[in-house]
Amino acid sequence: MKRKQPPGIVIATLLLLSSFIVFPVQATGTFDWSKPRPSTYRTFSETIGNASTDGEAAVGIGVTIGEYVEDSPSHDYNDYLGLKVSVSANTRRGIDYAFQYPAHGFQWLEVSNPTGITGDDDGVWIDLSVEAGFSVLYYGVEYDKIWVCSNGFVSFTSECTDANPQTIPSNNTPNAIIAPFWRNLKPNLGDSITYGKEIFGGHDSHCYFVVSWNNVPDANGNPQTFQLLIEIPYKAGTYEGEK
Amino acid sequence: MFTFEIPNLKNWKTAFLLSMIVPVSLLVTFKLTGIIKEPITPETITLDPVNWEFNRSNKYVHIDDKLNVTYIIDGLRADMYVVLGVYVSNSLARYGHDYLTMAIMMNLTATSPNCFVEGVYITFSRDSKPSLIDWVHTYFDFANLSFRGVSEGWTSGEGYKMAYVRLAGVDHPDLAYFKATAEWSLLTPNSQTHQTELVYEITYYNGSAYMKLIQPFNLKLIGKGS
Repeated sequence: MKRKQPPGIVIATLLLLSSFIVFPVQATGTFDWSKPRPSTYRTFSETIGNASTDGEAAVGIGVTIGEYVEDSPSHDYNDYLGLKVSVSANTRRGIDYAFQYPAHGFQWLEVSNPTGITGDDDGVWIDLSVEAGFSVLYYGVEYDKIWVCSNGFVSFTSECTDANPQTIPSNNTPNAIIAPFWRNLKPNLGDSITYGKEIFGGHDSHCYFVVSWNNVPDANGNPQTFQLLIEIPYKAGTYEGEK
Repeated sequence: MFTFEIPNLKNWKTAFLLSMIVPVSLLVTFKLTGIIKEPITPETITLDPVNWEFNRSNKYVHIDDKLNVTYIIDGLRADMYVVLGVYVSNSLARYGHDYLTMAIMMNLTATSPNCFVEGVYITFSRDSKPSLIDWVHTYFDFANLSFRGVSEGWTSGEGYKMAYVRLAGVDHPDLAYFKATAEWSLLTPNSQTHQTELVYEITYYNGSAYMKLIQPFNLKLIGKGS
């Protein structure tokens, strides 16, 4: 005869199990900053960003708007805006992450003959050595193929279409990833995800493997636009850059 | 049944002699036929350094100074430039530090047959005070050269890491061009004087021998009140 489980024990078991499951909290937002373009040198003493804590962890992001330099002789007499980008994450367990980098802004790059991904939870393996003529050294391991996933990440090892961002590092796939915006994205509902190799600028100095998520709707229907660039520093050989 | 044969002493002697003679013969053959290339030990020509000084400021300065060296020698014309761009004081994007921007350029032309550009190596020496050298990667531009290495650099109280760019000529070019933009961030108050040596090192083949041309640029930022 099958014994009926007392409800209290079932609930307690479920509560115990749930304490081992981590549900990632997602938050998205946009900071807008705009100013009339100056006609001469100007400093901006402004920082945009946000910080949040729930008592267990604190995260912060920020962009410091530095100086606007006009007609810089060392930048082909172009203007530039100096930016500092900051990201930090701290938990009670003392796992601290921080990233800051002086940046010169970002230019969206269009690939002339891109290939696309259109399916939901879709992806494709790309043989970099064939299609782009190079391999990538990533955390000390050389990879010659890359998995481009519709859900906002690429992986050098994992054919994975997981739509939910996970803790990094993790034994779970995907691994060896670059995740510019890991979300449940729906290219089947509109616009495009494209990838390809392109040479930009004069001569042969700026060659990139480019993956573009252009106005791809997320699960809430909000269009998301971002781009991943992997620079190919020269046509053949090994890149010995150290940064 | 297992048997163990005592080796013939004469055969061992032959094998030993062959193991010596064969590799030595191969080595001599490869060297004579040029299969094993001798390491290149170019003759070095070091040009007089170009000195540039600038008084540190607590304001933004649009400098636009151009340093230019043209050197013509049997087989090569080298046009080497440094453009000192802007001096930015108290940059919020650089954690409140001052920085100097500069463009580094060169045009190399082989002027006689059989001459070609072998490679280019650009370095910054250790600064006299703590600082950083960053390359603005989006401004790298070159023709008939390929990257062999690039690194940002720093000087601190504890050590020094050299900033450099190394390039190699592609298919023995008789024309080569390189341009880059670098930023020198000064991690000291503007009363402190900084000094570094930017060195252009060009290796080329003049038709009969490899040569190395070295052009130093001494860059000095003089502290206020120094």
